[in-house]
Amino acid sequence: MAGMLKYAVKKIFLGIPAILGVSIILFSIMHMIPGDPIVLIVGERVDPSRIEELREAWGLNKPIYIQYFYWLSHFIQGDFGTSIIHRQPVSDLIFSRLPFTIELTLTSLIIAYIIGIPIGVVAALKRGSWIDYLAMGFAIFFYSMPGFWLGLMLMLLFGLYLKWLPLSGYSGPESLILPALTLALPSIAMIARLIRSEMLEVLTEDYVRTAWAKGLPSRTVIFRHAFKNALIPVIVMFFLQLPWLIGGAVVIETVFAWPGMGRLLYKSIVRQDYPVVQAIILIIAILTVISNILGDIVSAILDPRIRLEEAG
Amino acid sequence: MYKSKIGIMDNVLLNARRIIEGLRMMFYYKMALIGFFIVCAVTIIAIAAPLIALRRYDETNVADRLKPPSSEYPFGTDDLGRCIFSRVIYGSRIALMVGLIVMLIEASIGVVLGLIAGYYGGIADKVISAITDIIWALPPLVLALGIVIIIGPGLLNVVAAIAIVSWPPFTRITRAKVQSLVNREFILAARAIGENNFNIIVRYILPNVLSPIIVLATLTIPSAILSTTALSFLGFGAQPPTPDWGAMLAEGRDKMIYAPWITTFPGIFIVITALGFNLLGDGLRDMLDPKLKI
Amino acid sequence: MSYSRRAISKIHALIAVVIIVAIAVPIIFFIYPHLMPSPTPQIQYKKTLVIAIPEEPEGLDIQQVSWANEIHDLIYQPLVVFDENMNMVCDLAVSWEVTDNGKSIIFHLPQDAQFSSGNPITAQVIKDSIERYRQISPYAEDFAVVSSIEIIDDYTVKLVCEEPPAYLWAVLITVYGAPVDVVSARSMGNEQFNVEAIGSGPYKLKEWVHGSHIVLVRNDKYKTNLPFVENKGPNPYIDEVIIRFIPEDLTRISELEAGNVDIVRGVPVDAVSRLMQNPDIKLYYTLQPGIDYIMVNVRKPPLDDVRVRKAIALAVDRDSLVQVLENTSIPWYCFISPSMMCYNETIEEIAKNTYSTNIDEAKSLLASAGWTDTDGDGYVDKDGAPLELTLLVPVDRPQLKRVGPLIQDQLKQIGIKVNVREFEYSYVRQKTREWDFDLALRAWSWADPDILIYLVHGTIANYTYANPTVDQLLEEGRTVMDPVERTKVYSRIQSILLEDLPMIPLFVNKEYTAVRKNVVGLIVLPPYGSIVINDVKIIIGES
Repeated sequence: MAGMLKYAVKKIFLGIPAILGVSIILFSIMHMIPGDPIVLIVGERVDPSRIEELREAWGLNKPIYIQYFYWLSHFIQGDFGTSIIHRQPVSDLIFSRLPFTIELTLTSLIIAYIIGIPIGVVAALKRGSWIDYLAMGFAIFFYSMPGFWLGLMLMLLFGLYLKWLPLSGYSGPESLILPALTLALPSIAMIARLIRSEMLEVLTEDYVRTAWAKGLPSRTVIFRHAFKNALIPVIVMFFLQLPWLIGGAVVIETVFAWPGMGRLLYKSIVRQDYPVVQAIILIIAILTVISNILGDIVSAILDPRIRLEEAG
Repeated sequence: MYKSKIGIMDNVLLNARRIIEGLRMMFYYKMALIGFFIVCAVTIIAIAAPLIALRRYDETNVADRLKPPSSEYPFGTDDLGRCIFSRVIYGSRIALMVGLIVMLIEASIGVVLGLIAGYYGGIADKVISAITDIIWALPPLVLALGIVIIIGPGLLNVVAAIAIVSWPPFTRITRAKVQSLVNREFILAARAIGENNFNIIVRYILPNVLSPIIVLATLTIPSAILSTTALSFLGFGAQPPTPDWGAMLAEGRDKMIYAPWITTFPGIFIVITALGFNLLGDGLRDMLDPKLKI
Repeated sequence: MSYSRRAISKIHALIAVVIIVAIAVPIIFFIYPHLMPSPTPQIQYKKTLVIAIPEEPEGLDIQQVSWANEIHDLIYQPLVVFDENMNMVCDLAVSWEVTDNGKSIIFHLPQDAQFSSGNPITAQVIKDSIERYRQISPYAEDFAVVSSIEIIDDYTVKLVCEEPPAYLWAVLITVYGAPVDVVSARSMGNEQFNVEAIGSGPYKLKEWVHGSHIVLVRNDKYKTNLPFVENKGPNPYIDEVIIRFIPEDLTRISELEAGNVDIVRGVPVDAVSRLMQNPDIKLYYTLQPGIDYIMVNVRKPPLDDVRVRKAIALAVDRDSLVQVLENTSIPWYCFISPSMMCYNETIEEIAKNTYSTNIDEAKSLLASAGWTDTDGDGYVDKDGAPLELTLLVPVDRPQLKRVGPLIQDQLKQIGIKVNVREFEYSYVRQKTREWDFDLALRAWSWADPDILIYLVHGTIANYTYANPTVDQLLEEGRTVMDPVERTKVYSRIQSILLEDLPMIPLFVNKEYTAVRKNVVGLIVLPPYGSIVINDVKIIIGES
């Protein structure tokens, strides 16, 4: 267990430069965008001298590296700054939305796993049969569909015509179903694909063949040996997909008016609200690094060979 | 299996044999075959677009706006009275172009970095892996959006933005594959006879890492097409009057209820094209490298 | 081997099915209760009004935000407003008078007025509030003309100006001119006040769920002097107003049609004709106080040649543009729209006669400027170079985004090659500020023609256009109090602009509010379409 802890700590330290790199790249990108938020937000009837005053008040006329270090030193102390557009603390803006995004993402991942794993398993066991084609074809079909189109069609069908589910917004757990499903359907293909190829690989391994040859009941062979081992990379995948989906939720959150971070992030990028964009992307980056570490740890626990490899 | 000294022609022949074998095997993989046919069909449509299309793709005709499908307009017209059929047909060129350019840029960046990282190791590997990790830790769509805003909208800029943010899988897969090769006998032998590093990489290593790259490249095309669609939804796609499927879908979405043909046809073409490449990519994976995790 | 495998797969296909069923059943049970219509008690009125708007407001403090929306309309109360016929009437104020040769405005306040916090509204508060606006608002210059604010007594305040402030009324009638609870703002701090702003409007903030909605509750201290509402106090029929943020047009309209939302703002062009046919929905509209137009870079060749600009103005077929916009706009040829002050019908008539689509005239104008199609490629050229222009199109203005490609095609007919470049509106504006453009589609909404000073004045606006006569007239227009005289000034400005064409007017939008039929008593006020819900009732049952 001590080894595991050391392993985790090492991984976390390795993640810090990546996060710093992300923040520097991002800050540069945001400042490469021509213009600044003050010019972008104000309406027509504004005096140019007023724009200068406001820019100065927000420190936007200082050199970029000073702005960056100022921002970073505050960020480390847990002060995310104030949104230029909303003139509210960034932390308030983000932490009220973050739970919704995480809820949506987690639910959709769980749905994707619940549907994806059986499809992948059945497809692997029935490799080359029509069930395999049907299951994989179904999965890949949704994988090939533009997310917002799928979302709008689901919304019109279940929300407007059948009236089974709420159309949009957040009015209770049932309003989670449509956006989560829209986000989940394309992921199903990825999971089904993965578990299918894992199963196929494991099923041809010697110990599984031996188990079969020994005449163990098929259920035992498939579940105790094949499925269990095929599941490891699939579980690791769970952690790797999480942050990626959070980023991808921008579109789905817009379609379903879901009160998550996606819409805020999009609007903040477009209007160059640096403090908000920086904070959100860094949170996503930190989540990514943590998820990677969790993924590594989980696979290390499940499969001790990896730990030895890393150590050596 | 590997001879100690393999000339480049041998490699080409080996690969050619593999591809012929692959095509033969494709008949056993019906899904890949379906994918292959779809890809061929879309390519033919793209090449023959001026012959198939009935009108100019940017020809507006306000008097005929929002007409449902008819013999005159097989797929109906959009809100400016443009022929959706012609736009969809020309759109296949845009979609294939987007997919191919993104794939080429991604593959070039990713494979070169992956070869360097995997072959040389050490500092080069550390730096490249760090960069890869950083890019991968950023949500691709969001990063692409930022880049499009900097360099301005437009199809080529969108393509560049998507490619710039999504090459890391190529690097990771190439790097891993190269690492598994560098200490193999035939590489050591090549070194022993005094081949320089560049030759070793190009003649000995590259041919042996091609199969996962081909699979990944095939799967990159549909995801590039879908990413453009998402950017169009957010308002940063192709510039009008470019008949980009994603832009058509995004612009017609408000009329999904009472003029569904505006979105249905480009939507179907996106799905079919992406499906084709995905099926083909999956099939190739099964054939070339069944243990590949993508 | 193969036999045993097949047997195994059968069993496991079965297991897979069982797993799916095991998952599906709880989900169905979970959803099922929500599918059953809950027994509705037979009450006559729904007490919660749900309004859907496209975007979340930046903040609630009207003195810090850069655009106002429905929430500000309900939280704040201007001293005076325009009624349905654009006549000025009292809202918070009891009366007003103009003195000192038009240089001062005196407002008389009611003696018992309070903010929703209970703090009294006195002359001192009005003064402090305006001074706060001048310190922190991005539009601080709105009150630049006010040289001092005098407190005559507790309930009488006088705005003393350097010159007659004709254009100040345009600010005073909006929520931007409404008093805020400065005492609370001071104790809360500006950041907090932006989240929990306090005004004297009919509703006050209860809850703001970021990214989702805002809940307002009735302000029981509310009182108004609006002559056109029956209910001069709190509306007993509406306890709460929920304002939901739904960015996607199709989603917002679907929510209205499904009956989950009572009022929708920002009705998309495509939904209008569909909603008109829906028996459960009624539509209100106000005319945009302003125009959608093409801004022209008059310093960049070949657009520095007024003949080229006129050719463009003549080539644009505004009737087609409006048709493509489902007739939710009106073709427009001059610079001041009917819901703006100083609108002059004659000028519009003249402009329409001058600039109605005329392809032949446009072509001959181009030819006289030296642009003809010598190489037969369909595009006119001069000295071997084709006439190629870039048109900046804002993606977030639906009307302008839609007509972009059509204008492109229309200009093609007179041989001008147009490349469309789409940006967010704010970038389009920025590019035009930097003079880095040929043609740009833009729009404004402001009821006072003084807005033109920010668009065409040579030094204040600093766009590419500068004409000393126009500058002088624009400055004069700010100070003329008599409406008839003022209209003359702006008519002259319009006549000059029509000759110089630094902007090419396209159309005036109808701005729709879609409302469910059972919502009665709603008033939508020009010019900005502010909603007045003092008399609103939502009828749902017939007990």
